[in-house]
Amino acid sequence: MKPLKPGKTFQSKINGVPQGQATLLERPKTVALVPGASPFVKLKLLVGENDTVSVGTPLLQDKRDPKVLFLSPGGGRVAAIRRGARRVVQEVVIDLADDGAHEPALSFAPISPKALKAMSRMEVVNVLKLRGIWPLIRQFPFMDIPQESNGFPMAVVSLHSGERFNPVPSLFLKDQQAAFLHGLTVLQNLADRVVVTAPRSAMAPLKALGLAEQVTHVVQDAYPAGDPGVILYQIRKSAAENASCTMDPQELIAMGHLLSTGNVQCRRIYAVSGTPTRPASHYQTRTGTPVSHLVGPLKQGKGIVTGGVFTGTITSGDAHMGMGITTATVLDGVDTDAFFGFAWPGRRLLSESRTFLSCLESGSLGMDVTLHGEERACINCGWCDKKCPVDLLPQFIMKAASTGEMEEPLALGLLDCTGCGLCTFVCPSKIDLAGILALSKQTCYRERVMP
Amino acid sequence: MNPLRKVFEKTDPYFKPPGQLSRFKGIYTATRTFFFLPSKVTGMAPHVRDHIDLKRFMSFVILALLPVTLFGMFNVGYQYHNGAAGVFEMFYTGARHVLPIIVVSYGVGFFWEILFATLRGHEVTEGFLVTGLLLPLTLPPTIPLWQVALGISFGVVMGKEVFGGTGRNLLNPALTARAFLFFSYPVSMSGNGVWRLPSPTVDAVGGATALSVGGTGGRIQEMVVDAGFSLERLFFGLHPGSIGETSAFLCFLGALFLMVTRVASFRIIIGGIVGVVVTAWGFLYLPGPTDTWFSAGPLFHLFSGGFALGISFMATDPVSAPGTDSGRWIYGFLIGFFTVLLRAVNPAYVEGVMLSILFMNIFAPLIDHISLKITAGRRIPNV
Repeated sequence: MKPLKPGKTFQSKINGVPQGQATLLERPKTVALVPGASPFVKLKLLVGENDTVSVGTPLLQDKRDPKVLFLSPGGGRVAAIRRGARRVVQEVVIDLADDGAHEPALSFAPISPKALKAMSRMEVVNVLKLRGIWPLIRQFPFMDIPQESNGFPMAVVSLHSGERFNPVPSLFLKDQQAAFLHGLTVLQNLADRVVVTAPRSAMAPLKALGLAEQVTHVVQDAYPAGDPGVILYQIRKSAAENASCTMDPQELIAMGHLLSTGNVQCRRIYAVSGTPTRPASHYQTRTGTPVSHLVGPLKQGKGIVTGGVFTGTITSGDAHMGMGITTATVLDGVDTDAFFGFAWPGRRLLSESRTFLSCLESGSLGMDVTLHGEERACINCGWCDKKCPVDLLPQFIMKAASTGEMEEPLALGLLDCTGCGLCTFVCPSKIDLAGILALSKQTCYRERVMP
Repeated sequence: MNPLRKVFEKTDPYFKPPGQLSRFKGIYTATRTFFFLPSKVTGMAPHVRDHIDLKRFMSFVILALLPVTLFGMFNVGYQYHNGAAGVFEMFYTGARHVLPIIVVSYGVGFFWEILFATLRGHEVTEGFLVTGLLLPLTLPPTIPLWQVALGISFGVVMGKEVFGGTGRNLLNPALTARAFLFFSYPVSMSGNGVWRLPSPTVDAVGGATALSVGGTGGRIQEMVVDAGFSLERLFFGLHPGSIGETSAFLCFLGALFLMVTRVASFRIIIGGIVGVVVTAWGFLYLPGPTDTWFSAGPLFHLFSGGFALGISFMATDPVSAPGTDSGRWIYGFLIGFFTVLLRAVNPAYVEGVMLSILFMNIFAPLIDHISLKITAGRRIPNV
């Protein structure tokens, strides 16, 4: 266990952190497969509306590699296929069969750790692709579904990103130790080196679960110290390690579960935070559960952010939780204005700067999903680079990128950007630096990877 | 409900695009957002944002400048009455002369800001709030108001708007304005007669500044003290000079405030002070005249002239300064270095702060370029 050196992090304390043990929610009426995150995947639909599916039935296929499948998280009837811009499939909604005890489910042949060690890498990869796990492994620097067949130099599994709204590792690892260890064995087959990190505060509970030895690096208890990209940046020694991969710990457990038992694991621990009507806490329910089922009824003027307050998106209540997304945060979300807003002393206003009285107090503060000002030109104040966990200079990359230049941003380390969003958060000119950098990364991907 | 909000809600439709007055949207929005800071729901991740915005950022600079401005007014009155009047009377006299300069500077400057914002269809930016106050502080109290108007026009238009507005200017607009006035109207901007208001009680010669002392044999430090500029007096600021430059104490106090709140880069300010101290100290040990500012030593250089005002408020303008941390150290240090160099080796033009800051403004992109190359070279490549 090696402590990583402290880096630049988000310092303020925030309200609405999920507390306590995981409560089991009743079975939702619908679940959905939400392929989400990767912008580069082109998906082919394998089912139509009203088809009957089982847990584990392939619903989607990656057009680039037809062997990569996305499996159904529920058994029942395909109720709707929701599409976004340019008819991209966003959700495949499944009405669960009424009786929870007889939900149809496919089962696969279990693979023991011993058998796993005997398999070649290609064999493991094929199993993962056909069993819908491959899309949950993401490869740096573009966080795409891995394309190459040669081994990953490193696999980073971060048990907690440091964001206070994420599920606590000891809760989702409880009673899942075997599946977790099985999952790690799979990664060891795929990667030359497996790195498991946990924040300092999680170490004592992990020890109680008997998993402390698996943790290779201990990180700070602050966001984004536990972001896999930040960890890679801190421990990599050579450029070759840039092609490492990462996986969400709960998906790693699901992978271990599927391979060891042959059944798809449909349970997830979600963290509900902010100001929901039910207590901000951890809830156990189905994968791809409706957001409203998770957060409970929503009051007027609230918005839901799923996938972390710094990296997630505003989601409507009738949407479903995406693959690999384990947080839902309810925050105030209406357009407002503040009378003489620039002159308030700000005892209760959240800010990473030292321009509000709140910086003198240690109490926790509320967040909301509004801009708190207007967008302006960059004044080169450099507050963004004071927060960048991977030591980029976002303002210079942003300026170079906005001229359509690609070599300069790359030389300045554009591809190290983990999209943690802190640069955008602190920008007094309200420039969407993280968005511009992400767009620039996508452009780079299109120029290079997609011919 | 706030009565002001009612007024705005009634007038809003006139200024929105199909409305009759929509061409004046720029100035309307600027006024409206001054009273009501908008906070719209964010469209992209990260959806949560810091409460800091550019209005507050710039108000902190204004806040740091307020003591300097108020003391400037008092000092103008103090010099007029030669200290022989009540505090309020002195302040009133000063304010009567200084306020018109500030009003003209803001008024004319805002005219250009709003004109460009309207023509270009962007928002009126907050940066000018600082520029409009900084220029008067660098001017002598006797400056004719029409020259103030001309100066701020040049500063805003040629110093900023022709480059594309706030955030894109190469030079500090306030100093560009001052440089324009200095070279166009040297009679109003230099010499011994302009630094205090013409007064029945004090003769014109008494209006010299500390930096104009020297060159007549003897030791410069004694000569400066003999001329009435003891170190304390220079530090606290009750002596003739530009409106805002005289009190090094209040300027450095403002600088401290800006450094603590991180609105200004401490690297520039500390770098500048180190630059002055090291260079002035170095000159003490070089063979040279002892009766000019060449041999004045670090403290006299720090507290006299416009250095304190310049390094605290002009050099720290983030737009025209380098954006890299190492670049900021170099930039600050070189401003200090050139300030002393100009004072030491050019007795004809002793006040070097303005030019050294403008000079380093021009070099800021080059400093950034080099420092970016070095930074990029140190990273493990990821291309």
